[in-house]
Amino acid sequence: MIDFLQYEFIQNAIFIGVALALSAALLSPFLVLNQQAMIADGLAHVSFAGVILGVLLSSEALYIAIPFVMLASLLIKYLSTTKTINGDAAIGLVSAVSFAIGLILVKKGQGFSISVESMLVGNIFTATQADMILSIVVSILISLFIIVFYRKLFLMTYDLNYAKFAKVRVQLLGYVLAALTAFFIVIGVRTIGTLLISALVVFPSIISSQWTKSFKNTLILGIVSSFLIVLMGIFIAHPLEIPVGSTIVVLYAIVLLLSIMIKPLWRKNV
Amino acid sequence: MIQYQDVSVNFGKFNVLSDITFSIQKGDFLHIVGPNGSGKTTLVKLLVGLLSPSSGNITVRNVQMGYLPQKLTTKVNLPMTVFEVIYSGFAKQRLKPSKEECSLIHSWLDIMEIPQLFNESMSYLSGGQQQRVFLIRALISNPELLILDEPTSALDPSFREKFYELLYRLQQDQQMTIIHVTHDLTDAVKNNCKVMYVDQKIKFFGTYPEFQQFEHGGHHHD
Repeated sequence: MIDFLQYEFIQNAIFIGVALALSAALLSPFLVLNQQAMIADGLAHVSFAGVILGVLLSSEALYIAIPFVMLASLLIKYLSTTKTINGDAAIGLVSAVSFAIGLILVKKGQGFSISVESMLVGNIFTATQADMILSIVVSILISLFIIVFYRKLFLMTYDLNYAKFAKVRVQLLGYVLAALTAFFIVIGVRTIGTLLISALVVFPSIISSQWTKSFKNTLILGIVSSFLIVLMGIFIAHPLEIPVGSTIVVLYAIVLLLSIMIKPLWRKNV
Repeated sequence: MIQYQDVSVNFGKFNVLSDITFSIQKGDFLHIVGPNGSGKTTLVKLLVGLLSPSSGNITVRNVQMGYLPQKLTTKVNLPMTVFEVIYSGFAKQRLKPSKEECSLIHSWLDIMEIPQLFNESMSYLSGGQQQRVFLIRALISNPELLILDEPTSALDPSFREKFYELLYRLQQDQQMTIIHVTHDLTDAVKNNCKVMYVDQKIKFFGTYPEFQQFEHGGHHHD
């Protein structure tokens, strides 16, 4: 097992995996516990179009895809603040339109060399140096944002009206959270895949909240479990030659299932 | 301390409040009563900045405020402890709370007769216990202006009495200004309180003895 750690692509994959696991687990409680879990899924669909547009217009797709998806995330946030469109509908509208545009671009784009399947499932082992650097950058930005605004974000998550009363700048922080989520999703789509990246955001706080009483511990346990699961996914997927993203999602699902089954027994014995 | 001048609120064509003009001074204890849908909650939402008036002006002196909303929009089923919720009521919060802040929370839990709940999950608490936690959140920053929108709806009668005693103590000892929206005035009121009866407009504003005369004159609130 130690042997394959010497390969550069494995080292890249571990760096990216750990950075994405940290980013996703930090975002997780503020999105999932605030009924915004689907924003990650919606933005993944948007980034499908973003990456394709990037491939068509630039030598480095991410330079186009990142601002494209960030703008879409701000649009979703803006639409969900209007009185006639709720959050779920805003995500559904923007993501479906973006995905449709992406498919049209694939069909009509000249000299398009990426297969749709590779976009949908991603591949962490073919990640570039740019992917690795951006993964680390996004994890640092998200870490700083969560550490600095932790108390305000917590208040917004559990009581938005009280946060407004307490003069928390809920709109601004909401937009920054959406933009950072978008940044994370674009990086993740290339490595974990369009269809699977949202699982990295959804699972951590769902799993950890089975075991914890406090918000802080939910966040911490989410980070620890994500690190372990993402690393296990990389180590299992490589020798078996199965997709890493899918392996990670299946591992998350197994841990959640075990948590739900063991929790009542554990409670009885405490 | 607070001045409303010709304040009106419309939701579309629906007129919720109109021509509201009144002022209250530091240390006043004001009870706001009125029937369902009369605009009581809207009146205090304007004060705490959750709504803006359609017309008119509200002037509030820049002081520390405490607020207990009527319908808690709080998601109490999240993984979060009593401590975490109360701590979010502090005006200035740190990533790691100080010992003094923790002991202040403990002493408030004692006052509210729920000392054992410091590390308990909010989702395990009864409605009444949750209400007490949110009352502490409103009081923890030692506000100069306290706004309570039906604070005792989930409290049992014996604790309700103690709670009002506590409020009167805070008013007298610290000159706390208290605005209290209620359906049940009898529990809460003393002769030196001010009472406002709202039904889209201010139908009455004066002292409690004057309010009793107003009620005997044929006006009732539910």
